[in-house]
Amino acid sequence: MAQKNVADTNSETFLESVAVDNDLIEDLFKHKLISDAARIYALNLISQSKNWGAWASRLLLIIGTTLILSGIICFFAFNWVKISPFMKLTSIQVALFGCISGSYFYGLQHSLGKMLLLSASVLIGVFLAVFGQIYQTGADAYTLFMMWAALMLPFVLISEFAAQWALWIVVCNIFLATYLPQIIMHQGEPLTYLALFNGIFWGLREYFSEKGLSWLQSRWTRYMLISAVLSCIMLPAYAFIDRIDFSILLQIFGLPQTRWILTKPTYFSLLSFILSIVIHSIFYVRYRFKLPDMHALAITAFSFCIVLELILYQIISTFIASGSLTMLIQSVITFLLFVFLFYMLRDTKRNNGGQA
Amino acid sequence: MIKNAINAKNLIESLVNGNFIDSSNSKKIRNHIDSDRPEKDFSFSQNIFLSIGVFILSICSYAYLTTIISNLNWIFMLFGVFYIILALILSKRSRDASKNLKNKSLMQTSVLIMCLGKILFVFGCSVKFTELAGVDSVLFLTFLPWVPALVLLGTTVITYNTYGLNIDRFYSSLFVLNTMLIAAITIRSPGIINIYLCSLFLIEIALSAILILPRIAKNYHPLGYASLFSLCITVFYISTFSAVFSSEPVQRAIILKFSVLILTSVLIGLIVWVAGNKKNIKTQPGIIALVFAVLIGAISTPGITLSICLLIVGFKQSNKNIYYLGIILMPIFLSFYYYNLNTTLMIKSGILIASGLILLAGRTYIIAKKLDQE
Repeated sequence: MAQKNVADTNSETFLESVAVDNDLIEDLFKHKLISDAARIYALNLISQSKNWGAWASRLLLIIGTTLILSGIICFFAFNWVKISPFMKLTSIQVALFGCISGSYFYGLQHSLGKMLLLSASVLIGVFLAVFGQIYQTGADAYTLFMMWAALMLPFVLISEFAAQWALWIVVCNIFLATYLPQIIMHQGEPLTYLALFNGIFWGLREYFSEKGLSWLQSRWTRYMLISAVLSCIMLPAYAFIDRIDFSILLQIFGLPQTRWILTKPTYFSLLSFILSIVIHSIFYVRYRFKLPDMHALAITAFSFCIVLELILYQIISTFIASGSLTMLIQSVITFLLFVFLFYMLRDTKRNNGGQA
Repeated sequence: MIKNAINAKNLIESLVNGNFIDSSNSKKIRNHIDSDRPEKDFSFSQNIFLSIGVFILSICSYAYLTTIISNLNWIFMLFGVFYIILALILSKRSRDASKNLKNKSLMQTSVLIMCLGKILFVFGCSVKFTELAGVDSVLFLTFLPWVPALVLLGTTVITYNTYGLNIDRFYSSLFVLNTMLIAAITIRSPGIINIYLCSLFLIEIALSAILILPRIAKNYHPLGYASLFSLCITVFYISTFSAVFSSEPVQRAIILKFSVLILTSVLIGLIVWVAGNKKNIKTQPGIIALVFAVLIGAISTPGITLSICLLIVGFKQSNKNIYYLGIILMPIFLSFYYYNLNTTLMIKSGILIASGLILLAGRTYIIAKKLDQE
């Protein structure tokens, strides 16, 4: 009985999601489910439901606004050389002040207020870029992003707006990506530190989301951070795999030797590889068992597949000299791997009550 | 943007309230719509995984086979036919009532194998034609560009109803039309190019009309979509590819004017279609819409007119594919239009701002006349 109710509810929900168009009405008529009179009635119904005036009004607003903004940008682009530094900086500051004032006026509870605060954050970066262009101090590239992230931080903290945080995290990532190779490390994997940095924010996001912060409930924030962590850790993991000399495996069959000799990888790349496994495991356990989430699990599984594929390719190409045969065997293993993951996702979906 | 208050549930309730159907019919309609639901067991992520797995397997298998047969040109045709027949067999076997992993994999594999088979067959025929005609002969130079188009047309016609998968119908038709467009580049005479492009243009518009004509079998909708996409590519080509006509500005102007004239006529026709009857056309909004259509035709490019047509059709039919295609193309063609204006950046900025203000004035008129209220 409970299953039937669930099925009925699912069916009703599905019917609400199906937009009626001419095709559907003609299809019902073709299958003799509605009469001709009903067909004409239904066609008129969907025709009347369209408010062409509102549609045209929205379209004209969007295109008109875009054209005006493009015209303003063209005007500035044309006159950029002729505009004095004072005018350049002043105009950006006026726009920045306008956005902050507008945000204050509308309030941060209103979406327009949040968008204006976000625009103000972007304009901070524009200001710093123009400032750097005018006053050629020879500073390193990272200083712009560092200052941008620092100056944006107060806005980010008060905004309670996921997009604002996303922008700030992106700016911080760019800062770290330009800072770390120059200052701290001359070799090693900056991406591993980036993975840790993004991982911290992933943890904070999950923690505060569970605590009930409403503006963090959107799942895209989870997927964005998971993707950032996994994509950052993938290259260091691959760097480790690439440096392993799997030819030692040949000796396993020829000689009674069982340990692998790691010829080239550094300890740091080994740590990165271990970190990669730990991260994948954490995501897997969390999104398969603790908090089932199909898309997050799919992203994790896909990333894991890529790492595993790289390992398998290194091993197979060690044993088999022919490139085309290697490709064929690799493809069969890949197919089996993806089918296995398909079943794993299906089980997760079932355990999740059919929800993604 | 497409906010249609009418969903399937609303429709059924309206029909019941209007005494057009009774409760038993309403249940049949619900079951019929529900039966068209996409696979209940496979989520989007699962489909992606399966597709990637099948794709990698197929590409690697193909790569492996071609390394074996690459020295035997004639065997491409044979393998092409073999793949096509294999795809037909796999497709028939996978058309089972149960949507399980095996059938899903077979279906996806058959699509890829069909695609590879057609590529191999077309390639094989082109190579064979080259061998028969001789590389330096006039026959080769004149007809080689047409061989892929004609061979693909033949295989598409044969497999359209026998294979029966919409994705194959769409891609095959799309490639047929686009290879015909590419073949146009090889025509040396600008006059003949114009006649050819105009004819292709009219054929694409005629085939695209499948999507809005009532009572056309759904089997032909993929052909309609393919024609629509090809029409967009043709308009893009006409609007931007000036290298061929760089020495023949008159010829270029002819094809541009022709395409603008046809698309403006289509736009006017669509406005009349949306209005529904003469009474609605003779109202103030109807007349303004017609005047707007003529002005757009007079001052803009075929791309902008086409985008507006797509938006109107997409909104009228609640067809998201066509609507979003129009949304994507509109800024592209607008950008091309303003970029190609032969004036300074300063004047362009003035034109942009003026155009924007005119459109906003139009919006103000709509609001003032309360035309945006239901």
